Amino acid sequence: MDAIVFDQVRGGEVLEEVTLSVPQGSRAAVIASRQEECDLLLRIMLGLAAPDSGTVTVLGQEVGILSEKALNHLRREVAVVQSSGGLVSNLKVWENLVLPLEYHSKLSAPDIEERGTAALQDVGYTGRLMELPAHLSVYQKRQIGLARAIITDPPLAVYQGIFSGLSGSERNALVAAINRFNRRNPERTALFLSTDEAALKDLDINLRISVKGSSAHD
Amino acid sequence: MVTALLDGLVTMIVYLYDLTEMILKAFRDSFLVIREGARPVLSVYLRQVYFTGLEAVKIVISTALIIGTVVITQIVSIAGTGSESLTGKVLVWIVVRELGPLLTAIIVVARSGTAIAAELSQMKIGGEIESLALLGIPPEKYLILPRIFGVATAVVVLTIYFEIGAVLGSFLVASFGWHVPWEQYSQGVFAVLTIWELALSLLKSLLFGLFIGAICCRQGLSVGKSVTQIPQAATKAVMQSLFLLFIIDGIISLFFLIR
Repeated sequence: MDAIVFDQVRGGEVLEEVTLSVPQGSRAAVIASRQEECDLLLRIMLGLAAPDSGTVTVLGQEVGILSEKALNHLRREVAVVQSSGGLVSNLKVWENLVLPLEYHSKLSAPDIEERGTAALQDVGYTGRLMELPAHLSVYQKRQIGLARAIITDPPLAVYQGIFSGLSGSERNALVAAINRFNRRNPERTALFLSTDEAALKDLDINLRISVKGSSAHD
Repeated sequence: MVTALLDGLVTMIVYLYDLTEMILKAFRDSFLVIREGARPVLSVYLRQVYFTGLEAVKIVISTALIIGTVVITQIVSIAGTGSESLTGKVLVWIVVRELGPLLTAIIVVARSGTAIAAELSQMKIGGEIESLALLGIPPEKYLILPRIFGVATAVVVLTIYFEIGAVLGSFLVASFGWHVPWEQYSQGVFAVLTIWELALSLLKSLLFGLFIGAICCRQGLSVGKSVTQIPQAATKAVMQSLFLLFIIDGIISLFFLIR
């Protein structure tokens, strides 16, 4: 079964026709030529933007025909680790970390605390928990973004350009944490969206796909 | 000229309709939030009540004491001392019916309206709204609903504080300035301060709060991608809120107070 299928998807002036499929449990790298393409692929994949043509199926559900409620349900199954960390600026680090669990789950506060603490240890975060994201470094923001993905234990994890602008040691630590997380559940699909193939070295990737942007921008 | 006026009127009605729909959706969503997202939404709501309500208590009570002083001085200068019944009536009419809800709402617009609009627009431009959506958290439930109800709660409670403050302020002046005893003063006030008057005052403040919250959220989320739109959104939120406050005030006065 495929976790993600793009069938003849076109996206305005940014994306040429994209056809790809990512089998469940695989760790795939999708290499685009521009960041815009990665962003649009992600947005189309999770129903935040509609493609001009074609269909997208994620975890067995066709995204284009889902209701808002069903889309939100699908998005809960997909953890996205963004290059910015995807943190909410007026929530503290800890609040950002546990937000999806607090919102979607019925777990008790001690259970959430236990999961959150374990995830922070997994990613090696040593900063302050009651700090606002504005005070964090890019690396720390990505650590929290990854920890947030870890605590939700999703069937599909998407990593969007998260290695750019990091030092060698920071990159290595993040790669190790991601590999550990992905190996923990062989059923979990991992998708790395990047413009730089070299940045993905050392990751357990078993599928590489290149997408072409529209010639209008080339 | 007439066409332009009609256009403006239609635009305003459509806008009012949109805002009303937004508020009604917040009420509908509040039932859904009980099943999912109750804890974080409650946390945002309490934070909003704190920033809009608790942090404004000092300025609201100070303003109320000053307004109470001014109003009682004006009444006594016109009617003289010894006319407690008239003093009570005028005080209730001015403070409880009009100035309490209206001035409190204006203070909230000035303090929190700009803050809400600026915060939400900054979140939108920074991609945080989309990040929330990627977590499967609908922004209208997590961001809009608690802000609308938080502002409404704050305005209602602050209005009560304002009215108590204004009545006490006026009593202090009457007592020190003209040696009016509390019994005499309170008889004049409580004789006209009916449940109806209080209910109308609270209804006004509730509507003011709901619409201020809705307008500021709407303006905050209406920005595009440029940071220069943040101050524009804040300015629009304040101006539209003020304009709507006077319209709502006028409508309520027309419907309920002309008896």
